[in-house]
This record gives sequence, C-alpha cells and structure tokens, in this order.
Amino acid sequence: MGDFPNFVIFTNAIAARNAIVLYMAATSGGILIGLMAMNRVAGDRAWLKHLIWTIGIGVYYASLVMVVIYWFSHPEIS
Amino acid sequence: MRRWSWWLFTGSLILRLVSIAASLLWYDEAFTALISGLPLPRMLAAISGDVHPPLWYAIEWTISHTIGPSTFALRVPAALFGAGSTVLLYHLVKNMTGETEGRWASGLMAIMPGQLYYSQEARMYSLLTFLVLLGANAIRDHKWLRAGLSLVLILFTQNLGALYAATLGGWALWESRGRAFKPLALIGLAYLPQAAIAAKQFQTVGRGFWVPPSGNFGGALYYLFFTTFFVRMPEYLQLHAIALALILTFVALFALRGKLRQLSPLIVIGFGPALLLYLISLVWKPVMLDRALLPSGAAITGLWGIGLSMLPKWGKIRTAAVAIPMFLAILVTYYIDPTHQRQTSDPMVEIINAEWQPGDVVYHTHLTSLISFDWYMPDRPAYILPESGDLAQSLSEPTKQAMGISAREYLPQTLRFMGYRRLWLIYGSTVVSSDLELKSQELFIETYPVVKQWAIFHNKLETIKLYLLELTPGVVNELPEIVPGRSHVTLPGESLAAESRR
Repeated sequence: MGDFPNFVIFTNAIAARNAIVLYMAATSGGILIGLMAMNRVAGDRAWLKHLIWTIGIGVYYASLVMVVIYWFSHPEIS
Repeated sequence: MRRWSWWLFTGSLILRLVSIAASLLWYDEAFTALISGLPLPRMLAAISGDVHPPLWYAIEWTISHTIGPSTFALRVPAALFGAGSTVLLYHLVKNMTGETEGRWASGLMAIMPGQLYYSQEARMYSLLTFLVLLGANAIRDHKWLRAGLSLVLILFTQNLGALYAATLGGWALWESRGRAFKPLALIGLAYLPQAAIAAKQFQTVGRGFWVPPSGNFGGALYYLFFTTFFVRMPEYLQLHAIALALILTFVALFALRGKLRQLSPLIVIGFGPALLLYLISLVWKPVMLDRALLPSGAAITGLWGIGLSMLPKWGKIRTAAVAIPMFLAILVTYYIDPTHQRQTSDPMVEIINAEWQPGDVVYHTHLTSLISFDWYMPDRPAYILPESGDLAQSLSEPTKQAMGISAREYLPQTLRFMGYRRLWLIYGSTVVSSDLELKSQELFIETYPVVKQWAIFHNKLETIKLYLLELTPGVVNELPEIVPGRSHVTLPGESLAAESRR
C-alpha cells in the first residue's frame, strides 16, 4: 500500500482492535462458562450462588474502573 | 397488539427525529445529497460509476426535487425506515415466539444506538434493515411474492445486501420445500438490468477499497458491538461495551439453547451474512463493512431481547446489574457527547465564510473534502488536485464527470492565471490520503507564502488543517515527478496557463 502510506497505520490499528475483540470474546466467554459451572456446583446453596455472581459482576465493574483510571492518568493514549 | 405497534413506531420515530439534524452531513451523506440534486440522467450516470445500487438515491432524489435538499429532509426517510423496522421485528419475533418476547426484542431495538445512528443518516442502511425484516416476515407468513419483491429491493439497495438476499432466499426455499422458487425467480428477473452494473461495481471494489483486512476472527465478531451499541461513546467505555455485546450474545444463545431451531431465521440473519462477509474478505478483498451488517444487528438485538425475556428472575437481575448502567451511559453519550458526533467540516466552513474576500478560491487535495465543501459552500469556487487518490471513495471517471469534478482538476499555478489571488488549502492527512496528496500539499505550503493557518483536528490517525496561501507567481514544477510515472499527466489548465504567460 505504498501509494497510501497512512492506510498501513490504519490497517495495523484495525488488526490490533480485532485482536482485542477476539481476546475479549475468549475471556468474557470463559469467565461466563466458569461462573455457570460454579453456579451448578453450588447446587441449592443460594448464598454461594449469590457470592459467585457478585464476584463475577464485581470483576466486570472493577475492570471498568481500572480502565477509566488508566485512561485519565495517561493522556497520551486518548 | 396494534396499540403496541403504534406506540412502538411513534416512540421509535421520536427517538430518531430528536437531534436528527444536529450535525451537518458528513462525506457519504454529502455525496448522496449532491448526486440526488442532479438531473435524473446525470444522477443515474453518476451512481452507475459508484459502488452502490440506485434505490436509496432514487428516494433521496425524490426528496430533493419535492421537499428540498435540507439536512433534515434528506435524513427523514432513514428515520421512517428505522422506526418501521422496529415494528417489523416485533411482528417477526411475536409470530416466532410470543407477544412478550416480541415486545422485549422490539423495545430494545427502538433504543439501540447502532440502529438510532443509521436511522439518523442520509444513507441506505436503515432501508436495508427494513427490507430484510420485511422479507423475513413475508417468508414467515409464506407470502412468496412479497418475499421476492423484498429480496429484489434489497439487491437494489446495497450490493452487499446480496448476502441477505441469498440467506433469505435459501430460507424461503427451505420453508416452502422448493415451492417458492418460481415466484422468487420470476421477480428476480427484475434485477437483471442492474446485475451487469453491479458486476462492474464489484470490479471497481476489487481494484481498491478503503476497508482494511479483517485479520483474525475478532474482525468477524466486531459487528456484534458496532451494529448494536455502536461507537458513539468515550473510548474508555468502548472496551466494556464490546465485552457487554459479547456477554449478552453468549447469555442469549445460552438462554435460548432449547429454541434455536424455532429461532433459526433470526440466528441465520444475525450470524450468516457476517460469517460470509468475513470469508469473502479472507479469500477475495477486504469488504468487512460493518455498517452493511446493520440488519444482522437488528436480528442480534432480537435474540438479546428474547433471551433476556426468557431468563429466570435471578438471571434477569444479574444481567440487568451489568447491562443497564452501561447501556444508560452509552445511550446518554449517544445524544449528548459532542466530541463523538459525525466528523464534519463545519469549523473550516465558518472560518472561510468569515474571512472570504473577492479573488479567493478553495483548493482540495482530496475528494473527501471537495464533496463535503461542494455541499456546504456551493457558491464558493473550488478546485482539486488532478488525479487525487480515490481509495476512499472509488469514484470512477464517469462519476466524477457526471458530478462535474473532472472539469475542476487544476494545479494552483493555473488558478493564479484564472485570476485568483488567495488560496484556501484544505490540508488533510487521513488514513486514505495518497502519497501524491500528502506530498503535494506540503509542496504548496513551501511554494506559496502562508498568510494564516488553523489547526482543525488531530488524533492518532488524522490531521486536518486549514491554510490561507497567497497565490504568488510561483510554479509548482516538481509535482508531476512526485510519484513515478506521473510525468505523463496532462493537466487541463496547462494550456491556459501557457497562453496567459504569453
């Protein structure tokens, strides 16, 4: 793509984004399957089920907070 | 039931009309506006050299020549088709599963940012979604003529719609055990005249298109986010929105695991065309155009709605705990975040209009800015660098001629001989800027004295600046040598320039 030099940068950015999407699919899918497996193992113990899913949702929000903090503490990436 | 359809349509339409004209038309929309303002024969000539079929342009042509070509008027058809699509999804899901599921699915689609965005854009994607859902309903109801008509109209709307036409056609044949073949084939004959043009358009795409390679399988999954939550949100939310789109898809497929056969039309529309497009991108050319998968986004939204409605109470609460706060954040930023609106040239237009003097001329090195400015400032004289790159637009020579672009390809030195004294250079370094464009605009800045300059926009991938240059007698001689093999280019203004020198 020598005639369009910036397009190479764009292509690399899209490739990086798609790699992240694949990683997110693998990790979120894996975590969900793990949570559902633990849910089944918990059987009738409602308190354990609550604990498992609370931890799962907590992980999601903790990662959100971390990303937001990282984003605002590194202005060069925005 | 009718009352829900009515409220759904009205509510969806209001959500789509709110802020519909808040931002000016961006490049694709400005292109639509310009060619729909042409006389019909010229418009047909222009679109036959473009990469899209004529149906959407015919609708916009009618709007332009009746109501008038305002931003609002050109975007309203998309809003109507978008609102209509929610009602069609409701009927499809209701007939497949039930009333409650239909309401969940359609209610979710009414507020889904990806659907909102393309219902506020003067382009064909909400029409494509409408026709795909119309065809799906017709097949579900065994109305083969209506189904055939929908499939043909899909092909007249977007060339990548062929993937949906093939998917829906296959479903129709399966559902009818082959009986639908005759009516579908008969109506399909109406597409034959367009088929030859479409074949030529695919050749154009094959020569060069702006879509980058998809790379790994993440490229095939990205549309699950793009066509639902969309990208109009702060970047730091995007990763979580991608995760949420994937999680909701997993949860819905898990909740519906006993009903997958019953819901197979939605699953096929939701995943089939995306998979096909990804495979085509791998074996032919990169064509993974996520916005063309908007109908799949509608089907995925439908699956999310049905899946959520069928979760047990504890599942609903936990999914809501993750989804509702993020969804609200995404929806709010969709409407109010001014930094993530359509990228338009309004700041430059304001500056140029404020400082304009007799003897000024606007100069473009890229088709993108020329098309936009022709829409924003039709009365300002504007010219463009000869043979500027067309990777982004694939504007063929017939399209440029029909739009009057070919006749405005001059070098700045020629403009001086035409009587212009100041040149407004639209400087752009974008992902689709060619070597020629990048080097020539640097050369112009070196050759002509800079009167003023403005930094308009800058991020990791793009830089947009505005320069006001004084057109002194300097001549940019090096330009034909910038790119090897370009020295043979005969510039339309050169003979005029030579005459003026004598």
